[in-house]
Amino acid sequence: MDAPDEFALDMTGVSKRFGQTLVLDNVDFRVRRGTIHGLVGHNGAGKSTLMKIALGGVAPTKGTVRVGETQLTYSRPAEARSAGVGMVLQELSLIPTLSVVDNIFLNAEKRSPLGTISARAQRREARALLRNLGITGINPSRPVGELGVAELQMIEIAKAARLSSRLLILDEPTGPLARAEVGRLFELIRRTAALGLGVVFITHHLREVFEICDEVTVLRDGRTVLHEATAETDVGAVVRALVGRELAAAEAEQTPRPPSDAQPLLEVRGLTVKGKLDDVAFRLLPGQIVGVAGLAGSGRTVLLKTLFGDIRPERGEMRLEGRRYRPRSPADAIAKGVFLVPEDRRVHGLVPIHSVEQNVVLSILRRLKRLLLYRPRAARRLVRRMVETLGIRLANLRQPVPELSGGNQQKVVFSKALLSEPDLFLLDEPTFGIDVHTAADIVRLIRAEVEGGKAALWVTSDLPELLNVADEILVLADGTIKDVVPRGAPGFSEEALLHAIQRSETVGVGEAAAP
Amino acid sequence: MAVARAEKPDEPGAVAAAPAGELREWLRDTAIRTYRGENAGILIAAMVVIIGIFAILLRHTAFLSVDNFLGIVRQTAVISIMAIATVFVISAGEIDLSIAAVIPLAGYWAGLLMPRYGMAFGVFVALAFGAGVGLVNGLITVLLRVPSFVVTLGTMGLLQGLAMVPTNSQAIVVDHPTFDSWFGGGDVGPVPGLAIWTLAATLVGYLVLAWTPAGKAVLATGANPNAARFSGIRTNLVKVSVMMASGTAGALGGLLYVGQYQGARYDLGSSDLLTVIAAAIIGGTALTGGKGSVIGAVVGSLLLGAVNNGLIIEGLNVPEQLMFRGGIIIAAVVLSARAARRRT
Repeated sequence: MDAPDEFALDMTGVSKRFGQTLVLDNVDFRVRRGTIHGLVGHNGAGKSTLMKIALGGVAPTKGTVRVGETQLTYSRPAEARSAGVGMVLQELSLIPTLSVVDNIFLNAEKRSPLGTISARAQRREARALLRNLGITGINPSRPVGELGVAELQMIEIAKAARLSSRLLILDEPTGPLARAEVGRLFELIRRTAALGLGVVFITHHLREVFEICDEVTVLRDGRTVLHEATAETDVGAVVRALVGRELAAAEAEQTPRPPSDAQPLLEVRGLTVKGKLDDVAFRLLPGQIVGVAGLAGSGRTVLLKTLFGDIRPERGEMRLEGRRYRPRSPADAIAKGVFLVPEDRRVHGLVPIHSVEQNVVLSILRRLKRLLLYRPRAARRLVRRMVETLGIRLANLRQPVPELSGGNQQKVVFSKALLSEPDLFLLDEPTFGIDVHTAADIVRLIRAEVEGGKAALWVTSDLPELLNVADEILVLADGTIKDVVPRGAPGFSEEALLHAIQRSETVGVGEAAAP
Repeated sequence: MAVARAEKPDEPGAVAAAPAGELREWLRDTAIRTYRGENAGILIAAMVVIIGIFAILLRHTAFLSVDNFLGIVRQTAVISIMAIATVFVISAGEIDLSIAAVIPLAGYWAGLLMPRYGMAFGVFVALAFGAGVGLVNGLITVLLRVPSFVVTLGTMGLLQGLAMVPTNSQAIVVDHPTFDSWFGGGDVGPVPGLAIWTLAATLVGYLVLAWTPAGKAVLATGANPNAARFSGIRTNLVKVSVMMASGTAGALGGLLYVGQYQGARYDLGSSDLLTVIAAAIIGGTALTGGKGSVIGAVVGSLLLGAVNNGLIIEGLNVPEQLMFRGGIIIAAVVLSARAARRRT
């Protein structure tokens, strides 16, 4: 029998129901002390709910959770934390103006008998902590704001490791890092585990799982579909578990292929943005939806923003309908018939404190002018038409946009795009965070637009969606296009794409292509 | 806090109001367009209450006379004009602390150039100087990405110092009858010229902010510069433009002071800055950008002017005026914040 103390985290038979939906269904998840356990699953598979339960923030509907020897009762919020669980989130929580030491001890300061902060003791302990974790070359007195992303991430982990005696949860810790930096981070994670902590490593990068984790668990639709020691399984098995049902290699409906001699609507050659995109080349024919498959940080958003004039490329040539295209600003790109539906609609898509009407007309203010004056009635007509065409559900046009549901907010963003009448739609996660019906509406809408000779570049992490809409998929990883997969080709499947989008040094595309 | 509020679902009350008649819809839209600030009702109520209190307290005095009212308009004209420009600047998400510091230098340009080169040239140079200050403020803000608060804090000091140079801190006399009667001194029938300047500025400001695409671009830029930019609005151009408008308004203010006093001095308008910002804020312009009302700012300016005037008639003086003004600003902002919270 296992010693009671063998597991840093022991979740048995955990289920969680939110209203009608069963988010977790009888999940067992155990993390041994001193080991690293990879947790993998699509968005919505239940990973974050499971981790919230481990952190004590959400109580399970059924099942038991033990941290070391403590069984969580979910009676007070800090329970799991005092039992020794800590988490490092994707967004960093460090304060740039404070030193490394001050950040590590923020809100947990060491005090002298007089109640003042004992700077010397803190510095000593911080040095020891960094040394134990093998973090070298960082002066603990330096302000955190002067450090690089990788160093920030390491300090973040050190800070969490100091406070967690049992379990440390890392959510996509390598996301913002360059490949060289990942190695350093892994070394740190290994040392952290070696201190006797259990580590949960959440990631979409499957290669990393096999590089650093001792065990791997795959969640799908709230169930554990795979749990193995990494030594006894491989990337292929994990991908199959992730995908589940045998997705027929996209025999989906045949979209009429445009004649291959058509002039490309967009042609990109040698596009390079320092450190983000490297020598990207592709073409987009009228009538085509081209998908971009890539993980966050692969350069997919940078690519769209470059095409939209928000980022200046270092090198490379872009041609729009045969003419040289070098947008100086988003305004310039829009004037030339390109429109970006941005990934984060609250930050780049909408003006939250303004009404639906004011938001919709933003992209065509210039057109709504007669003798310098705004034409409220013409504007109102256009907005009404958009609301009807897209089926935006709202009380009235003066309603502030935050009152609408996520899907309807996204339709407001699409109204702006449609009104500007672009030839090329750049879509960054266009269906993220919205309900399936609205997502289907948006797919239909873009299909209809494209059929009239326009084109769309469609970026999403949702591979089934991509396989559904795209005529051709660009595989983007590490800022370069690894492959171009036309519909019907052997690589046009979720499984193959999942392999292909991993960072380089991973399974070769050819190897992954045959399901 | 703000995010949590934003998540709230549709209000049933708003749904019921939807099928209003065409005319009602139009009236309501027009009302909303006319007054784009935060707290129309409160501002008007405050105006009525305060003037009512003074009217009762001062019923045996000239407070309620037409002459006194025109006097208030005359005294507040420069504040009103600068407050209108400030509405644009704050609505675009920036601030111009140097607006009132343009006043004395604009006055000197006009006063020193007019005797030799004529009125038109003097006026032109003064206004161009103001616009130039705004251009510099705007370009530094936009190109070097320095907050406009800091940039204009710097130019404010610079201009205040510069204002002492040309005449070695001495006042100059500007004896130019045509200029004096155009800029501040003259009347049109019973109406003071300054009231007409105020009215004209209000009209222009109101039309631009509420009825032109440019005004919408200003509001969108202040509310969310990222989304505005991604919608094709040239946000840098918007910011530089509002700063230029602000500098020009400061210069116009300078001309109007010179016309009134028939002279210029380095400390002209030196206490105006905070009154200008206060008027804009009392008028419902959100300090966070994206919401502003030109008419509100003018009403706010008149309100502050009326309070001062009433207190003076009552026999109170500068200390009471200052305290009263402080109280009004706090009350206006508190009430408008509450109203905003109730609405959503």
